[in-house]
Amino acid sequence: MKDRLLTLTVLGLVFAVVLAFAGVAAAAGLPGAQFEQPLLITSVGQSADGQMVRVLAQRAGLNFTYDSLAGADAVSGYRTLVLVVGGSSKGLGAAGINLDQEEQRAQALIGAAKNGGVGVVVMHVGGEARRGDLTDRFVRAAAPRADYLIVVADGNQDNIFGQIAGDSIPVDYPGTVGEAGGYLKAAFK
Amino acid sequence: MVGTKKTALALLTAAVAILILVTPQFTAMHTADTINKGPGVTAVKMLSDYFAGLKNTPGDTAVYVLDSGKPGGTALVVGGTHPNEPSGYIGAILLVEKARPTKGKLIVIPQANASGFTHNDYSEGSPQRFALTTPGGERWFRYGSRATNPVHQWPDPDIYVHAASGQKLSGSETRNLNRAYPGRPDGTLTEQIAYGIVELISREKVNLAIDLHEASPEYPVINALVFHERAMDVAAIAALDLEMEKIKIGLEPSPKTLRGLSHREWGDATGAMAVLMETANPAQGRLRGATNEALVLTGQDRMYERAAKLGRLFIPYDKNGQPLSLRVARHVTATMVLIRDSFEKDPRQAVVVTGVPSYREIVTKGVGAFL
Ligand SMILES: [Zn+2]
Repeated sequence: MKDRLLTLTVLGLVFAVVLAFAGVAAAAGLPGAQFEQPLLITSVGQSADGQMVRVLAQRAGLNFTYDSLAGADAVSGYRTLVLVVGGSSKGLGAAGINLDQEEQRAQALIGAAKNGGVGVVVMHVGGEARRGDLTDRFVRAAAPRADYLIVVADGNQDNIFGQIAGDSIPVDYPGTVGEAGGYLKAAFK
Repeated sequence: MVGTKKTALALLTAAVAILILVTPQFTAMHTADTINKGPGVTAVKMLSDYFAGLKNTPGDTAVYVLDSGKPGGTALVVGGTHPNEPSGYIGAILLVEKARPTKGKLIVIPQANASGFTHNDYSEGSPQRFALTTPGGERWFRYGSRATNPVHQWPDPDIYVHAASGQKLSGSETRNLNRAYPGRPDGTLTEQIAYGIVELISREKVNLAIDLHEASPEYPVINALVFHERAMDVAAIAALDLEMEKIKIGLEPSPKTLRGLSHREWGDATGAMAVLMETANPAQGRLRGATNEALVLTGQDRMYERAAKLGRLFIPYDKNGQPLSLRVARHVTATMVLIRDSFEKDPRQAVVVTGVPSYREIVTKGVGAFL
């Protein structure tokens, strides 16, 4: 009997701890649909991960435009800017731009969005394989100024996005790119 | 010791004896691997049927046509561009022997650079061949060289100039089929093979063309799909679909400035959606230990385990390694998903392929079970 009581107490405590953490995680995510359509999706770093987000947006039935090289002047026609962060030297080479130009383009886009009251969503869907010096530079350029972060968990093993988000930016960590599509859809009114 | 006529004669005899002993081994690589015609094969052509200049040359190679007889699109799968990348050509051979198209046409070239299969990279310590256990017993396959045999194309220039663009690469790349596209009818043997393949893609009106490769685990573009811009949509959709089947594949756009590669030149020279896929082959890497048949088959290597722990690799790697069956399963499954997804938009151009074992089946039973 005594043993059983102990087991129940321990189980209860474990349950309480799990609930507490779940609560924290939920609070850190996006509380509800708060972004408006139409959205402009672009890449930061020219990896093909942007293409996958384009397909996610399509499947989610969102009203969007995809332009991997969109400039700041394009932002004005939209209510939300989605930046898909992921560096690819092949991609940058294919687009004929260098790191600095790409970082400047991202900063200009975010600047234009902030000025125009356009929401900024930053996504990282490439997982562990799409991290490293090249991508991390773009992460640091874009993520701190986001209104919402969607990060496929595998790409956050060192918690870089958690640190950037702190208490001020809502962040969700889907397990897969497919699940990231669910979060993207849920973020829009 | 002073040499005499006797010692000279003894040495000469020994040299001749060694020569007689090793010659069969050396020439054995000229014996073609057995590739069985599967139930879906409706014709076996040669690449020289598309470019006559290849007839009776070591560059000619078999082209398997699997025609459903029903109207639809045409998909091409190429293996053995690099004959030291076995998951590509074993995957292609599996398709020849098992695939049964029920709509449209599937064309498979399992050994694109036939000349590269006739020698191996002895200075890399590469094995000459490896065996797979199949229901019919042990079956041997050659493990060739990345490049065309210098016996068939020699000498290399100091600098290889890509004919269509003037791009300069190191001289040995002259014999690299995947730097030779779109090729030339009057060029080197390698350029002629490239030309033949591009001719095939044009004449057969191939809609989707897939080139199967492998690379070392420390190379960034592995477990990856490189796509020509025309294949962008299908690449992204296929990557998402593969993720649902728990197969992670990285997407890389084909650089416009890197010339001579299949994913660039097939797409530019023809109307096909061109993609190239890579799996990870530790037998090709710089960090490997003994390079032998076991490494080719199991993909297990202690040094790669250490490298993975140090965060130096671009794929997950543990004591289970990267077995050939797993690599073939990736290629075959990704190929099937690409074929399915590429024709979603226009069902009249669809290619439907049945009879191919699933990822799980190939991984659990081993690829030999299906050959
Ligand atoms: Zn290769």
